Amino acid sequence: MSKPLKVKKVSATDPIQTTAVNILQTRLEEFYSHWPDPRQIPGTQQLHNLRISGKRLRYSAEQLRELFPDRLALLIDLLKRGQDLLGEIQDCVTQHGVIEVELAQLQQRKPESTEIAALKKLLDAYSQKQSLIFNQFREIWMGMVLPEFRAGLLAMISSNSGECSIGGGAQNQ
Amino acid sequence: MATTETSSLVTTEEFAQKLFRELQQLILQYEAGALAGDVESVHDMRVGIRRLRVAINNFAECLRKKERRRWRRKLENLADALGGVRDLDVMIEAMKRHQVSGTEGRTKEDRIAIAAFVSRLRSRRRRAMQNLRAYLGGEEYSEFKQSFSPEDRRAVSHLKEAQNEQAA
Repeated sequence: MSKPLKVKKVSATDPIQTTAVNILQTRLEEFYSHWPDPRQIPGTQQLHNLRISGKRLRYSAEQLRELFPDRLALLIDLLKRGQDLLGEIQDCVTQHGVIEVELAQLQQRKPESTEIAALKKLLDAYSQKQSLIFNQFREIWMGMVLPEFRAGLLAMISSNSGECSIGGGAQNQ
Repeated sequence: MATTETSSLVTTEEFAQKLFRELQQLILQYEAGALAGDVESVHDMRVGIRRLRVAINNFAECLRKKERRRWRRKLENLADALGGVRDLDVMIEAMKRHQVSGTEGRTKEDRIAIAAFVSRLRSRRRRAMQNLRAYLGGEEYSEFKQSFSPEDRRAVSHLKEAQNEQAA
């Protein structure tokens, strides 16, 4: 799993408004670090890291959203949509792996089993699905890496209202 | 999430401590469901852990290094115990969909084979649930439940003040 970027220059005594901007800028930088050029095909680990960093950015935005009234909804929504696709890709990878192990065991234990053919079909179906979803996500990612789009996101998180209620937006989804 | 105090002069530490407590409560509210093996509770508890881990990373400066390491270790172990069950839930759900979808030229033999696989996955889930229940009944989880309480936080703050005074 990718390690989170350290949020630098934070002091416990700083106003939360300053820290919030710092946190979101760091998480945004981390999010964009995994697949900088969408013309290159990323590896499974790269996509996994992108998904994890996307979650860190989304959770951070949700926890700090009260400091940025009406400004983070678009970012959060966009990240959710992207993550749905990345989550489906990850499910394909994980489930493909589990079935491969199961298949190898069956081929050793019961080489005549009719389950073998069924599991092989499932593996093919997962490969096709993964490729299809990857192409959908790549389309989205090509738009998200455009400099104008990134600049817009950065502007969204680079200033806040200056007002704060103690407490985070601890939601669960 | 309810807010209790409004001020434009909230410090990072005040915000962080409140957030830690809220996220801890969020995790604990799914404990009973997770113990009962409820699929959604296991999932929601795991998501709550991820959120708390993100908060600890973001507000690392508000916790002592030793304390941070301790929470990270506990959360990682709890996440592993929940993950063992959750991964199987996701797999079982996916296989059940494959079993009934029938859109990819699936034969009767295929469906029987998938059903046999699901049965083995369910048996693995029962074992994973035993591990989860053992973890939730253990000492480490019990310590986690005590953490981030106001008393606990005050003790840490006093300790930090004393350390700062010593350093000065």
